[in-house]
Amino acid sequence: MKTSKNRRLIMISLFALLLVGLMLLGVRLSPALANEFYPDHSDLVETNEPHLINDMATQIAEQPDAERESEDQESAINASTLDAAALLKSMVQDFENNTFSQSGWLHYVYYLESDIPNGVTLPQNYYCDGWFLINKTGNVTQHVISYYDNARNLNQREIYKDNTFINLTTNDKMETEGPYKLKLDFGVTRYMLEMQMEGSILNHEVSTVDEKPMTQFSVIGNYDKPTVFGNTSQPVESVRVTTLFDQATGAISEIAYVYLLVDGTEELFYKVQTSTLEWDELPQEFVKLLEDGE
Amino acid sequence: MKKGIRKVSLLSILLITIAAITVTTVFASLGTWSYHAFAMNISGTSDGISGKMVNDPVGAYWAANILTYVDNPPISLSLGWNWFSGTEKCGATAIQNVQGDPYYAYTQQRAATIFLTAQPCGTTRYGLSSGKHIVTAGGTNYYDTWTQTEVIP
Repeated sequence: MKTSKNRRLIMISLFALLLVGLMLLGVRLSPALANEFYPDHSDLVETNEPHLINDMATQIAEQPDAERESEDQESAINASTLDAAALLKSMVQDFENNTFSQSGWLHYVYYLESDIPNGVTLPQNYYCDGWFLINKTGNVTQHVISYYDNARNLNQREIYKDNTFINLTTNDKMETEGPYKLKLDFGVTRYMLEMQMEGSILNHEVSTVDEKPMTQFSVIGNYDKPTVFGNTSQPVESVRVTTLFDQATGAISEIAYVYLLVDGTEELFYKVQTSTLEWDELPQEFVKLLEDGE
Repeated sequence: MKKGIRKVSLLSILLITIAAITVTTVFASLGTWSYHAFAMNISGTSDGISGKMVNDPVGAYWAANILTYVDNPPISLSLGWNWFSGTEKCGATAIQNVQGDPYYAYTQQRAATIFLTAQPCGTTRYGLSSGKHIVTAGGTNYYDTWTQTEVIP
């Protein structure tokens, strides 16, 4: 009786082990097996992708007496653009560290303007008025974001709670894995640095806007083929991305993204200007919204 | 004897299930195609397959891709998509939408791409590739409408 029970137990254990082994093998092999059934089609679309021209290499090649002095010029240009990249990285890092040095409700408002239709119900120019609950690790656990048109009419409102984005206007929901990091630069720094790594030239200079001293970073990315991006009126040859830091506060005050079109004209894809970035008490109406909002 | 047969049957069912999951599940992620087989055994044994991909090449743009093809074996049929769009969401709010051109022609496979420059977004950015695929065989239209969503870093 006991032997029979033990045998059954051993059989069940062996079967469970076999099952787990097969599942692990399946998971390990699945992409390869899937590829057998669904061959990769990346080659069909990769050829359409625009690539950045390595302007750094071009600039070095076009210098007079390039052959004689190329090494010096190359190192000078590299050093200049690498300095700008390092400075940009450190200024964004400092800005984020200073901003997220405390926890509580952060009120962050910016205005976005654009020359190009966005194809959605948001107006082309709008105010994005956000309240973000920052925890001790610098991540957002709750938020209320309101989008207003130029006349300050509410267009859409979104809340974030229980790891879910909920658009209260459209009832659209998106789930996340956990609290997220608020990107005060909208991720634009990464794009600028990627462009610089591909050979686009990143510059920085000190300028003045409304009598305020600013540190300005700009990069121009030239594409190897004219490409239609989104709803642009015509193909884009190049893009110019600019970020302005307020020297007094170290905060990003403006980010602009401009298309340089094939006919030689420019189109503003967006310009974002920060108007408020401060710690404050969440307005009572939003407290209620987070409690009740579904 | 009966017990043995039962065990073998159970084992076979489990193995078939595991094999099926293994083969049909395609672990789609940013930069990889996700596929649906939506028209089975058309014009003989061929299948109409739809594909979508969201990828994030170097720079400030991302791409929504669409694909319709016929395989097992590959043959030419009238295929394409009735509509195709790329949408960008910041959290649960749509901040950009771009419509691609429809396509319908006699061919074995066809793909298209919409390039979108990322709009400012401080929270989580999602890229969506949406579209309604079509394959025609024996006078019947087969459709497949779905959306592939990925987080754009």
